Amino acid sequence: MKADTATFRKLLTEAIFETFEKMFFLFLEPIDRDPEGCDLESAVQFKGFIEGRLEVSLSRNLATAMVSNMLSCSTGDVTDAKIEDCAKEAANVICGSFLQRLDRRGDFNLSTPSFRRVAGVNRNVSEGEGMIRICFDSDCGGLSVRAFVSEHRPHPGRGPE
Amino acid sequence: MSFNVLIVDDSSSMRAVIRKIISISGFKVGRCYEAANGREALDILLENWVDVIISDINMPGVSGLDMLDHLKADDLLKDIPVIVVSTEGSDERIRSVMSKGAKRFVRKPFLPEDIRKILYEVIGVDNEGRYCDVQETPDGGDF
Repeated sequence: MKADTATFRKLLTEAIFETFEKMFFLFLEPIDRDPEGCDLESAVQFKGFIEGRLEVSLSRNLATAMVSNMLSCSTGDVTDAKIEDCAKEAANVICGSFLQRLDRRGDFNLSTPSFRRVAGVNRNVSEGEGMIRICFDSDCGGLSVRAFVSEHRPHPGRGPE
Repeated sequence: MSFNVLIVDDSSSMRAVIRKIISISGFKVGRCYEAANGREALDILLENWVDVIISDINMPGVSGLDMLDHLKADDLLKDIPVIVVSTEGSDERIRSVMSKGAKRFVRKPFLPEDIRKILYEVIGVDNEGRYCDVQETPDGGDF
C-alpha cells in the first residue's frame, strides 16, 4: 500500500481536476494545508478490485459556485437541496474517475453518496497507511478530498494505466 | 421532426445539465421527460412515447441495469435506443451494459459535445433533425 501512495495521490488529483473543470468549470490550486470553512461533506463507498471510501469536504461558497456553474443559474437561485445534490454528484464522479484511472479494466460498485454538515475538516485523521488527503483552494473557497483504501487487490499483471 | 427524450438520473442537477445540453445542442426535442430511477422511467414509458433514453446506472430502487433488462423483455420498448451516462465506466461494466441493449456509453464527467454527438449518432439524424439514411429526391420527396 505504501508503495502505491504516490500513484494513488497523482491519479486522485487528476480525477479531481477533471471533475471540477468539466462539471463545474472551476480551476483548483493544490495547497499543503487543510482549507478553512469546509463544513459540507459528501462521501461515497466503493467496492470491487479496490475497496474503501472517498470523502469530499468543501466550503459553502465553493459549493454555491459549483451549483451556479453547473446549472448556469445565479447564486441567488442556489438552494440547500441543490448544494446537497451537487456535492453528492461531485463525490460520485471523482470516485468513479479515480478508480478508472487506477485500473480501467477493474470492475467496481459505488454506494449511493451521502451528505452531511460538519464542523470543518476532521484534522484528527492523519495521512498515512491507507489514507490520502489532497487539499485545494480556489477563487470561491477550499476543498479537501480524502480517500480511505481498506483493501487493494491488484490483478496479476495489471498496473495503473 | 422532433424527438421525445427521457432522462433518468437520481441527481436532479445532472438531469438539468443533460436537459440543458440537449436544448442548446440544436437537437429537436418534442417532450423531455425526467425520472429519478428505473421504476419512474418505466412508469413514464407506460404512458408516453419516447424516442431515446439517456440513463444513469447507479440509482436507488430500480437501477439503470434493471431498467435495461425490463426494456429488453418488452416488445414495445426493446427498440428504444438507450445512452448510458455513468461514473461506473470500467471495461467490464461497459460490456455488461452493452450486452443488455444499451447503444452507447458516456463516462462522467463528460463534455456537452460528448452527449450531443452521441445523441445524434444514436437517433440517426443530422443537425437539422433529418434522418441521415434518407435519400431525398430533388423535389423533396422521400423516394
